[in-house]
This record gives sequence, structure tokens and C-alpha cells, in this order.
Amino acid sequence: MLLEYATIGLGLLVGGVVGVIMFALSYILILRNYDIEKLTPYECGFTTFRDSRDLFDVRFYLVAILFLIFDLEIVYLFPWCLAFYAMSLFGIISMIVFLIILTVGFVYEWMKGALDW
Amino acid sequence: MVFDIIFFFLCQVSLLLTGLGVIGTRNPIYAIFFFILVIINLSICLLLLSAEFLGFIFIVVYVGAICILFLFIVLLLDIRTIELGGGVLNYISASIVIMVSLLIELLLSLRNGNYLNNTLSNIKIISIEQWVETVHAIWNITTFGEFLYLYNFHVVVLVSLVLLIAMIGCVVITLEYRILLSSPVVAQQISRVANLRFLY
Repeated sequence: MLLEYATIGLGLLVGGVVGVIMFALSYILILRNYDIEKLTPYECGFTTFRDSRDLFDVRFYLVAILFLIFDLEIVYLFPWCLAFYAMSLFGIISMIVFLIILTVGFVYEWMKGALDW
Repeated sequence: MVFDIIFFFLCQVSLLLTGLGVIGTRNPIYAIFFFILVIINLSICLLLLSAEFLGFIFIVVYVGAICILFLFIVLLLDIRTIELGGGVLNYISASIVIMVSLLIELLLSLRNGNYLNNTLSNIKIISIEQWVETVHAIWNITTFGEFLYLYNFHVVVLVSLVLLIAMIGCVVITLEYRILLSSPVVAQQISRVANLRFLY
């Protein structure tokens, strides 16, 4: 069982090693000038006015929630794709109905202006 | 095979340690990163138990979506005024209640856990070679797909309706005040670039 995931593990290993090598090279080879000004808080040429934890618009959070819903849609698309070989027309129609109902919600969001800025 | 089992228990040990890290750190951002590690360990355990669908779904849903929601919640919290790290003693009563309820649920499901046997009871008994061939031929996710889209289509329609209600609900809750704001017309803004005012 574990050997079947050996290629994925090899990919993870190679990716991790390449990442470590690149980080280590940039850490070793680059000249570094230490300066106290580099550690001061900085915001568009000014010193910071207040703390960075602050209230922000709820529309950012709305985008995250809408992303979550379409992410859950992927969960249902994924087994459909892998069971596609066994399906008759009924399976395809069922997926189309599923997508139509979700597209109604997407059109509602678009018309309501939830995706505008 | 022994290496499989050792790797499985290593994953479980790191699952427990990262789970302790979630409730142990004072910085909530670090707690979220520990939570991502918990989910990755958990999905590795599920993959080793050959429950591939649950493993992938845990990564897609929890790491992909729920962690982003948690990040937004942490940003929304007013951390400056809240004194963090009040100790485990504040949560221990609630956690005991949740733990006991999960334990009761586990014991109940172990007691009458023959739901799968009931659904599979009409399959005839085959030899062990045929069983191995069947199990290796039909993948877990493929089974879910056939089960959902060929035999239990009404569940899929119910799920899509629930997702539709979730979409409409969050739009209705958050977007009421948007009528007061003026939104720019995109086509107008793009056509203003064509004036080339900055070139002259």
C-alpha cells in the first residue's frame, strides 16, 4: 500500500530538497547589510498609524464563503469524473441537474453584485 | 508490510503531537498552521487505510477552505483586547462533554455497526483471489461516484439545494448595505485608458 504512493513521496522529497537548496543558497550567497531601519514597521513611506489587526470589510469574508461553497462542489464533481466509465445517460443528466442548480445560485450572486468591487 | 504499520503509527503519533500544538500555542495563526498539519497527517492515515476519498476530501475541504475561513475569523477577532492563553482549564469542561459524547457515539456505532453488511448482503460469497481482484479493480472514489450518481441521485439534488441555500443566505446576510455604495462601471473605466492622456 505504501509503495503505491512512492512516486508521490519521491515528488515531495525532491520538492522539499529543491526548496531547501534554494533557500540555503540565497541565505549563504547573498551579502547582508544589517540595519536597524530594516526592522522598523513601515507602511507606504509612513510609520504605521496603528496596529495591523483591524476591522475590515465583510465582503472579503463573503468571497471566502463563496469559495468554500464552490470547493464543496468540486467534492461532488470528483467522484463523478472517476465513475464516468460506468455511467449511462442518467448519470450525466444527474450531474447536469446538479450543476444547473448551483449555476442558479452563481447567477444570483452575480446579479446581486456579490462579486463586484 | 511492517514498514506500512510503522509509518501508520508514526503518522498517528505526529497527529497527536500536532493536535496538542493546536491547543497549546498562544498565537492563533500558529494554531491554524498546526491545524493544517493535523489534517495532512489525518489524510495520510486515511490514505494508508485505503479510504482515498476521505483523505483527499479532508485536504480539499479543510486545508483548502476551512483554514481560510479560520484565518479570516482570526483577522476579524480583536486580538489586542482579548487576553489569549487563559490555559486549558477554561475549556476543559466543554472538551470533556464533547469527548464523552464522541465516545458514546463511537460505542454505539461499534454496537450496531452492521449497516455496511446490510447494504452489501446481496453480494454472493466469492473466493479470496476474486475478492482481491475486485477490491483492487474498483477504487474507493469510483464506488462513491457510482453509488451517488447512479443509485442515489436524490441525495445529490438535496446537496445542491443545500449549497444553493448557503450561497443565497450569505449573500442576503452580508450584502444589504451595498445599495448605498456606488460601484464603478468597468467598461467606462477601461475606455478612459484609451484617451492616452498621460502620453502627451
